[in-house]
Order: sequence, then C-alpha cells, then structure tokens
Amino acid sequence: MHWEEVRDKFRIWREDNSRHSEEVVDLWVNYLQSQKHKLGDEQWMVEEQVFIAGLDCGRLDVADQCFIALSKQFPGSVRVLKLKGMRLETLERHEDALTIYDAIIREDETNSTARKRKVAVLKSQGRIQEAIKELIEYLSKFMSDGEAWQELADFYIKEGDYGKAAYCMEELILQNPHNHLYYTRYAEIKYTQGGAENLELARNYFSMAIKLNPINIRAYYGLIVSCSSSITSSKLTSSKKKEIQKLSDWAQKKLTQRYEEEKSKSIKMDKLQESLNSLCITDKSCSS
Amino acid sequence: MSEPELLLDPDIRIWVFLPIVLVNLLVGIVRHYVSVLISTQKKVDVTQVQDSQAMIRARLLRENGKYIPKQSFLMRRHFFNNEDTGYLKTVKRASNPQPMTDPNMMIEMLKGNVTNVLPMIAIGGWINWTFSGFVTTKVPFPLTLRFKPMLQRGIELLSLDASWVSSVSWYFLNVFGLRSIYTLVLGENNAADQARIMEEQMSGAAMSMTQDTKAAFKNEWEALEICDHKWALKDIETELIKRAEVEC
Amino acid sequence: MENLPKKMSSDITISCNALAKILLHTAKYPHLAVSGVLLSTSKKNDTSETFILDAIPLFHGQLGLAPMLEVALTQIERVFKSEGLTIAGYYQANELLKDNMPDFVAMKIAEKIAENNNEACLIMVDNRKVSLNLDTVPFIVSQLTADGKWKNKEKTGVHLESGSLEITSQLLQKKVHRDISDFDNHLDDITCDWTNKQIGKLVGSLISAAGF
Repeated sequence: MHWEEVRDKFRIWREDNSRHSEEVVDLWVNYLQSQKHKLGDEQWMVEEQVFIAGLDCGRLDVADQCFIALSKQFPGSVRVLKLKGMRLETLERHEDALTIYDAIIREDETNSTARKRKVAVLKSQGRIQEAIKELIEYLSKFMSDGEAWQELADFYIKEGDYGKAAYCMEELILQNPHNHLYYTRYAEIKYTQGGAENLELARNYFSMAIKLNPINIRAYYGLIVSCSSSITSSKLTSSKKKEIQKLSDWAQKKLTQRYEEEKSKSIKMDKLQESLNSLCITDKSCSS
Repeated sequence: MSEPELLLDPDIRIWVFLPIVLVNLLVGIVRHYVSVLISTQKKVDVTQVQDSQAMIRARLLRENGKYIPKQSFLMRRHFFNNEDTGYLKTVKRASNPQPMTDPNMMIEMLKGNVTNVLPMIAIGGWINWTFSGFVTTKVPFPLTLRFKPMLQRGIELLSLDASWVSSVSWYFLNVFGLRSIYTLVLGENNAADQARIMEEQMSGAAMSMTQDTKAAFKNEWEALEICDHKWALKDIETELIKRAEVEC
Repeated sequence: MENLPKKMSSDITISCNALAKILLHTAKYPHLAVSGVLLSTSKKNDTSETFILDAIPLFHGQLGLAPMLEVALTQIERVFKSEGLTIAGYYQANELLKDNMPDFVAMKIAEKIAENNNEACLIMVDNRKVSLNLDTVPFIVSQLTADGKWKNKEKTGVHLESGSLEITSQLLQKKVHRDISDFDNHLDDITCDWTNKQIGKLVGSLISAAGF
C-alpha cells in the first residue's frame, strides 16, 4: 500500500470521526510513520489521530512518540494538554485527568472538549448518574451540540429512561430533519416505551424513515412489529386496524423484495417468509 | 484602428516591474508576522456562547419543529417563551457598550489599521512618488477611456491606449494578485491576505453575539410565538398506504 | 397446592462453537457492549444437563431497544426450529472492563427467555479474563432459582468442550473477529450472515484437525 493511500484513508476517517484504532496503528507503523515529513501541515492532525488510536489499543509506545512530537511542536497548547489528560485516562489515573480538565475549563470556560472529556471520565469510572448530571450541565450552556445530545440519549437508553431518551432524539431530529437514522432510533425508543400513543408515534416515525430512505431495513422491520403490536393491543376501530394491516402487508412485501434483490446468502428464502409471517398477527392466528 | 505597439525600455522591467512585486511580497510577509506578534486572542464569554447556542436552538425549533410531535414542540416553546421561566424572557444580559467608547474595540481597530491600511498608503505613496511619469505595463484586455485618469495618473497623454497603466495600478494589481503566493509561502489563514480581511470585516462575526442581545431575544421570542406547528408526519401512514395500493 | 420446585440443571457444557462466537463478537467491538442468545437442543431429557451448542450474536452498542430484539428472537426461533434447536439463554458483555454485572436489560431478556425454558442461562462475559491466550472460562454463568433470582453457577458446574480455549485463542490471534456478523450488521447490510455458518465450519474443521 502506498503511503499516500494511507494518508487519504486517515483523512476520511478523521472527517467521519469513525473508530478504526487497530487499523490506524497498524497502517501508521507500517506505511506512514517513515514518510511523515512528507505530510506537511497535515502531519500534526495525523499525529493526534494516531495518538488517540494508540491509546485506544493500548499501544502506549506508539502514542507516546506522537505525544512527544506534538508537545515539541505546540508547547503550551491547550489541545495537547487535553491529549495529556486522555493519556492519563488510559492509565486509569482518572482523578489526575479530571484535574487537568478542570484546569483547562478554569482557564477558558468556553472550552467544550475538556467538558466532554470529563463526562467520558465519569462514564469510564462507572459513575453514570454523575456523568449524566455533568452532561446536562454542559448542554444547558452548549445546547446546540448534537454529539452531546446523542451521548445523552445513549445514557438514558442504557438506564431505561426512555422518555428522556426520546427527548434527546427529538433534539437531533430538529438539527437534522432529513436523517432517517434519527427517525428510526426515535421510533425504536417510542416502541420500547409502549402504550397506544407511543405505538402510533412509532408507526409514524418508522414510516417517515422509510420515506426518507426506501432501503432502511430496520425501519421496515420496525414498522411491521409496530403494526402488529398496534393491532393486538390497542383499542382501535376495525377500519383503522384494516389500514394498519395494509401498511404491514406492504412493508412485508417491500422487505421480501429487498431480500430477493440482494439474494441473501444468510437464511433460506422460505424460512425468511415464515419468519416474516410470524411477525404479523392477522385474523387467522399463526402458531406462536 | 490598431495602434502600433509601444516598445518599453527593458530597464522598466528590471527596475520597476519586478521591484514592485518584490517589495509587495516582502512587505506582505513582514505584515503577517507583525500581526501575529501583536494580535490578541478574541476572548468569548461563556454566556455569549450560551446565548448564541440558545438562539440557534430556538431557530431550529421554529424551522424544524414540524418534524417532532406537537407536545414536544410545545414543551420546548414553553422552555423558551414562558412569561415567568422562559429562557428568552428571563435571561438578562447587560447591554454592551457602544463600539465607539469601548476601549477594547478601539485597540482592535487601531491594530487593524496600523497593520493593513497604513502600509498600503505608505507604499502606494512611495511608488507614486518614485515611479511616476511613465507606463509600466499593459493589461492584456482592452479598457475604456474612463479608466485613463485612474490608471494613468501622472501621464497626461490623451492618445495613449487605456490598457497601458502606471506603476500605482500595477501595485494595486499586486495587492490582490499575490494572495495565492502568500498562501503558498505562509500557509492558510495568513494575516497578509488583505482581500480576505476586507471580506471578513464585511461579513462580521458569526459566532459571537451581536451587541444587542436583548433585541435579538425579543425578535426570536416573537418569531416563536407566532410559529404554528403543522406536524409533518400527520398523514404519512395514509401516504404510504396509497403508495401500497398503487404498487399492488 | 404444592408448587413443584423448578428443576435446576446440574451442569452446563458450552460448545467450542458457542464459546468462539461469543468471544469473537466481544472482540469485534471492544469499546461497546454486545449481546446475543444461546442455542441448545430442544429435546428435554430427565438428566436436564444443558449443552449450549451455538451462540447467535445480536447487537452491539445499544442493547435495550425492543423492536429489533423481537424481530431477532422470532426469526431465530423460526430458523432453528427445523434443526431441533431452541433459544436456551442470553449472553452479554458490558462496555466497561470491570463491569460484569447483568444490568436490567440483561435480566429482562433472560427472564423472557426463561419463561419458555426453565434451564435458561444468563452468561455475562468477564472482560478481564478475555485475552489472546485463554486459560480459563471467561464467563459468569447464572440461572434462575425457584424464587426468581439469578444465581451464579459454581465454576465446577460449567464445562467447556475439549480444546475450546485453545481453538478460540487461535481464532482471536488470527483476527477472525473481523469476520463475525451480528444481527445489527445484518440490518445494516442484509448480505451479512448472522448465523455465521462460515465461522461454525471453521471451528468444526479446527476441532477435527486438532483431533479433539
């Protein structure tokens, strides 16, 4: 592999903010490290990326080299100080890391990354309730930070507080009203909450996800289970139930079509059809 | 009507054309380093950040509120607009001092002027004084007569084609043209980039709040009050069922 | 009326296949929680010894959302019914290294499974014991007691198929965890095989090659 390909790959991963720590470290050591002087100004972002990847994999040898390079280039930098904090987190010296982050925040109250690292430290210590409190405090000041809302939604789902998780997902929908993934997740939360109203919302939001992305498999499945739950549990008129049944049938059809298109190698088609049938409850009841 | 081409003394190339480019380039680089030395970090207050983020959130609520359920929309509007507890109603910010009297602003303006405007005037004047009375170069496209007094200052020739320009015009061309060279030499975001600076001055700061927080909040409050919630997902199921019937 | 006590299985044996899949799933997402179900034969004999034949990886990241879980459980029941297998338990590996306690999601799902299967097991992965050279079972296995509490089984009550630790270590060293698919992967890309037949075959061939 050519070092330029590796550089480009790293760039894409930086922009996506995706986690490929093992690969980053491997590719750096094997291809890019020796050529790093050719990277120009990009070198420092790559060093930061490799540093964090090294911490993630427990490769402190790789991470420390990057840290030395960065501290030499940017002495007294707050960004490098934050990396120092992350290194302490890896060594499980959580209190020392918190001290650094608190110092950064004292120096500059508008620094958002240090605040978010504090939440991360609390999370890794298992102090979830405190982490939630800290995150809410952060969001009261930085209320347009989508990443933070996402993290808070994850916390609430883990804690089983689905109502609050739904609130967070709504914030994300407000920020990105055309992202089908947010609609899907919101619908899943609503379904998990249960109750007639929430089931109806689940159906609607799964439908919207399908409208935004006609190949969102999760949304089709979600729509099918929401419809079947609505039909069995809710007190709906029979005409409404018929409508919902139509919707469910359509979703099943689209799903089967999709599987046939992909010529799924996983489960045999007839088995899939059986599974799909068992998801819906029609007038002729299926064997459970 | 084709004019005979003017033949310029090659000395002009060596002693006027190139020196102007060089002087411009070097002064630009010096300016960059000087401004880096004397620049201060623009300190933003956390309350300013909070307010600007709140404004963004309120705006998003107005624009995209129709994608969340009505109850959720009303809850959030209540958070912003409620008479007693709403963010836009209760958060009071001290009205900022006028730009003219604020000492920090004055210093910033002074620094900006010293680094950018002064050198421009100084060098422009020097070039005008040193290199006057002759044409330096010809621009490759034809110009109308209206440009003559501007571009041929110091050369009172009525019959001279307007494409022939004096040193000062060449200097101004350089100011804009050397931008890319600055980027090559100094990297992105260099302080020598005058054109970019002028752009920035016009667009104004996006992140930090405008001076009058109170007025902005009031406007946002009004906009939210009159905002109507038309749920975008109201008929989504019917829509899909219709689609289902069409496809069958 | 006399309540008959729930029969507690005497011993639990975990097949190499199941061990491998659980640990490969855990290794694929070292920074996230993962979960899945366990399969055993649906034949019930009197000895009621439980043999966990296979594991189906379900989710990574968010484990507690109901819709996809219901879909997965329904499909698994259907698909494996014809092979004589049934859902016999649930496994989960938590996100934090030192956290091996089942949370409310794990208990809820395991209880739901136990409604249909008395001997259902709840396996929590002990993250600290997972390594490239396994020397001990990195699981905490528990079952429901008569009074509805999850009780940990003694180490002596949990057995592994011969050679499981060595073979699984080999797979982890060869980075086979990059190839395992869970139900989440399948929902994102339906060509992913959540039954992981290929890995099952690989494990089978390694077992016969090693002569276990």
